[in-house]
Amino acid sequence: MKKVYLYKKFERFWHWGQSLLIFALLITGFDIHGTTHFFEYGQAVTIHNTSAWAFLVLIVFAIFWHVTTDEWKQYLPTVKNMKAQLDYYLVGIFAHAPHPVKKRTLSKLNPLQRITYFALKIVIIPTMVITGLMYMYFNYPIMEFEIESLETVAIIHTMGAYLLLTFLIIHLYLITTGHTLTSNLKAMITGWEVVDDEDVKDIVEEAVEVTGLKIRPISRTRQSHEELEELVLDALHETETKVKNKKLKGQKK
Amino acid sequence: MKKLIMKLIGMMGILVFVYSCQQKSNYNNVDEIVAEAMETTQGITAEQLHTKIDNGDMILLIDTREPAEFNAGYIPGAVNIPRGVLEFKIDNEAFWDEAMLYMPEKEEEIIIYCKKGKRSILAACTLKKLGYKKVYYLSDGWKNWEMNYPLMYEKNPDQSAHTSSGESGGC
Amino acid sequence: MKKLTLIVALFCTTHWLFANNGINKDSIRSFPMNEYVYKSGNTNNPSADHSKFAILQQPFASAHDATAACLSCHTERDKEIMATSHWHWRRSEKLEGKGVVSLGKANIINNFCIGITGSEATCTRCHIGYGWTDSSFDFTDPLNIDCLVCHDKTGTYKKKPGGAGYPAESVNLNFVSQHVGSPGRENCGVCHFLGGGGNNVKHGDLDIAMLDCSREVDVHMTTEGENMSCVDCHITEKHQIPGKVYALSSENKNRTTCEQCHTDKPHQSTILNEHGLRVACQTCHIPEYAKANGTKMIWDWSTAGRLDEHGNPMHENDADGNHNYLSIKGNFVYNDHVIPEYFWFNGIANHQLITDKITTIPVQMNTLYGSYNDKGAHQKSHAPAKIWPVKVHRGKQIYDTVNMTLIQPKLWDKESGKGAYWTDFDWNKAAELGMAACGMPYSGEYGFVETEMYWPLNHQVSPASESLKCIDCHSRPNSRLASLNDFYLPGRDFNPIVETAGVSLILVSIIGIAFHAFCRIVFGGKCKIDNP
Repeated sequence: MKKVYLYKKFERFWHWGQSLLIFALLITGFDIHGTTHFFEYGQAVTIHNTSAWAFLVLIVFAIFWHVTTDEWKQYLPTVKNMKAQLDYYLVGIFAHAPHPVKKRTLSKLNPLQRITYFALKIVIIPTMVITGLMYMYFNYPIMEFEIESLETVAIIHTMGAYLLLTFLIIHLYLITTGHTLTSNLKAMITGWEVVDDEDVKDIVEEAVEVTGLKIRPISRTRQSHEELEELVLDALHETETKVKNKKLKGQKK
Repeated sequence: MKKLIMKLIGMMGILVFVYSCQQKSNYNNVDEIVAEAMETTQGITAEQLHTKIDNGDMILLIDTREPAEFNAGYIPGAVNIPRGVLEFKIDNEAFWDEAMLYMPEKEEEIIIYCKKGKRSILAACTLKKLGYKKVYYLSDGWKNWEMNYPLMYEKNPDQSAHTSSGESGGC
Repeated sequence: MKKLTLIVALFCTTHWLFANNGINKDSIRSFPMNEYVYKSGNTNNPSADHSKFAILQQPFASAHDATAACLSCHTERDKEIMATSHWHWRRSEKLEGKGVVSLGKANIINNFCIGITGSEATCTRCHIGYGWTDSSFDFTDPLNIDCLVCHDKTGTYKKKPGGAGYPAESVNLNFVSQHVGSPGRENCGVCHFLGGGGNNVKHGDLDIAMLDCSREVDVHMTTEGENMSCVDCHITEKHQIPGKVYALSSENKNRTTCEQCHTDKPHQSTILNEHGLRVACQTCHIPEYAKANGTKMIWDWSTAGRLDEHGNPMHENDADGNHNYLSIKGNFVYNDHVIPEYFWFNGIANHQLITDKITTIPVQMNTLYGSYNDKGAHQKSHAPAKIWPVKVHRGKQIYDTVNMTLIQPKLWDKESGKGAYWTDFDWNKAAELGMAACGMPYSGEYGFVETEMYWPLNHQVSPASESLKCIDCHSRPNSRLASLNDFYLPGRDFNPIVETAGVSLILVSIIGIAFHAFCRIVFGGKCKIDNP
């Protein structure tokens, strides 16, 4: 088993900021709904509103980050391996079977995660944001658009809250399905994920491919392409030597 | 991992301790005491009491107001035991003999009321502590009864304190 | 060091973000006030000493002469008075479905003493004039005006019972007229506190206790604080007194409002200010009424007429010393520290006139219009309805079972044998005479019908610390607004299907997780598949 750095600082900040805010929103939200009584009502409203605005700011930053770093590609849903993943959770896990889908730098999420997080990002969170804003400003109609009754907005917002709470419960459980009970949690705190040895090779290869994609010759002649290939192979040889002599940055002797 | 669990348990323990401390000892005003007593006692509505009286149910109806309040108007059939002496008279045979009523058993249905409901809630709480099982208070008390059944009452006019006001009613 | 700075910064930010509830933190003089000049420290020296005027020192043969003396200097005030509803006891109001009606104390029906027609001489003890004994009263004669009842500052001016507004013989008109001034609580209160035949009978929030009360009873009129008089809010110009009682007025105009002084954004918290769009100030700030003395909640005329063993009218009291039964009026129920009932109200009301047929039982003596969908100026409708605290007075009173109208009985007369109910105790005769005085037919058949009347509350404002808290309305059990369910109120309302589905979903997930974890623990130790 080796460690690989998969989660950069912003990603972790975003994850934990989001979880804190959603936690606050859920608790105060159910207080406002009348189900629970953790806070005094007025306080619950203030915390809910402030957290909501903070969340909106965080979302803006997150969208910016997702777009500029191409991280949005991680969330594209796929059915490839979906059955294998479900089989793993329902059967394989009890027999200590290996995870069917491996973590890569460019693909950190298994199919089930992809579809769930996609649904969250595209359906549930936007619905909550929109209904939340309608809830906040419903006494101040814009031009002629006036909402007659808070009821529909409230019901949709409540449904979304129940779905989010369900997600949270299942999420908190499924993070224990890593190599150890806490390995996934640690990874999201430190950024370093523990992977199997076979995967290390794949990850290094992937890294090299990604870098390779970022270098191009200036002209499009065959010679330029061949020159580029030679340069890359040279670099690979040099790296090979350095690894063998333990001269790679960060490598311990 | 162990350290984390220990820390979490420690935090929870502190929270439980702090939260539970707020329950029992200090009250800011009598309404808080009444609110807590309400949780362990059961109320009935004026309508339910009216039905019981109409049906001729065997209930013991206790009016825990002061005698002056009682004499000015009470629910038909009620016996007056002011709250101050309730616990002392409830199982005192001599008192019940004089009132020409049977002393209540611990399983008997007892309904208590006062002017607005608060005294009766505290009284019901005390009677439950003395072992009376079926004790109920009339929600919102005598005033609630009056508002729903304004003509269904009895008075002891000879014994009620007579206050004569300057003008009797007309302008 | 960095960590410490970070923690301190985080703490300060969260405290700043979350500490601004501001709900009970307003100090008394820090909220916005418009135009009102704080009274404490002001000395109010009148600009004229009336005891120096010769015209007020000559003997007055009658009360009319006193009025003439006033008018000799205040020459145009009679015209002002004769343009007001305090004088005519009626004004033009547009009623829904009835057009423009001339309506007022002179002809309106309520479920207290019912009305004045036929009994004027005693009821007009509260009229600002002299001599209104019947419909022949001359409303155009300036000498019929009573200046002194409102402007007396000696406290000795009294109008005599059954005297049609004339002062009692014991009143020294010279003494009174030489000591006049701006009306205080005692001037307005002698009528407005005692309406209906006793203290605090009618309104529930207008009570003689307000002449000298604590902050807990009324935060504006308290002698421990601002000591405001009625006219400090009901700002009068040329004898036009704004702030009509809702039970008597129908159109939403000429009001006295909290916003006059407090503006429409009086709270520090924006959320509380936003409540003002749909909730009247009075709702949160008058959490209970009849705080010092009880008010009449029920009046059952049908039991009237029971005399004592000598055949004389009698009375019985309840536990608090209030009347419980009067031979002349029937049974009452009083209550104090009453929690108001809440209704949507847009300021427009309707009335059950003597000419109206009875169509619903209980008869709605005045209907308060408004609903959740009446939204407000910048929104679709123009009549903003807000949630108001209301005293509902319930009663049973006499009606014509054939013509299906309410009956105005003749209640009072100076002499017995003239058919007045309060002396002769004959409903039929009283009904006949009263209806004749109204110009209405009477079939000869009478009964008693249940009625309800709505009195929105405005006075006896409690201190801010006693105002309603969020959970008084936004809670599932025991919400004060439990009866207003034409709208969705967060904290009180929910959709049962969504709740059941949501809770089931959560329970299923937890059970599923528990089972899954259990299986992992149980099976995880046994079968191991070697990783290929």
